[in-house]
Amino acid sequence: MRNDLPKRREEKGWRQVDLAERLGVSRQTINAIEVGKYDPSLPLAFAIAALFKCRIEDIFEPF
Amino acid sequence: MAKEISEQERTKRRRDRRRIWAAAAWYLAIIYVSQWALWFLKDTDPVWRGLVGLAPMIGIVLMLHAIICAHRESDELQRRIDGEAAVISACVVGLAAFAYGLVLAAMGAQSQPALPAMFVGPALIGVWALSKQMLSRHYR
Repeated sequence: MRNDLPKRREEKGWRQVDLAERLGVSRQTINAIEVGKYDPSLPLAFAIAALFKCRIEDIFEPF
Repeated sequence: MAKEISEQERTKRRRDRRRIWAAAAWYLAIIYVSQWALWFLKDTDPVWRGLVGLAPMIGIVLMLHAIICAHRESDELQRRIDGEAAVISACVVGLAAFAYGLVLAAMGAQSQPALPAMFVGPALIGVWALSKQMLSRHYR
């Protein structure tokens, strides 16, 4: 899946490790999601969307 | 890119390490004590010797508990990596053992394998660790 997580994260001034801490996952997970190597589970996708106050489909879109 | 880890992640790793080292220490202590006890029980009933010989299973259960706790508390990507590594390890070691058995059978040596079954466990762990490293690199 494509996503604009890096852009949204940088807008908030967060590093990957900051976002990871807020979501309770590892930095490796955030990096893998951002580069498109890993698709998050539905609960994690909902947590990401809630953190950025938007819908899941605003952040993630299928290829 | 800097490989920083969050404070939660650092705490979790520290807790996992402590749990696994404690279980490993118990395992080694139980093996040592059971072997020592077997030496004293060498002239007793084989049933007792068998029971004492099984004592390291307690250590194995402790170790299993520590590993499962660490796995369950991992985040979802780490769980996926662990799972994929376990599948690779089971397939590689299982198929290698099967192929080895076929070679032995072809050579007519079914009754006395040259490699003891004791090596299956360490082989599973070794291949799992290696696969985990490779998969972690893939997801990096």
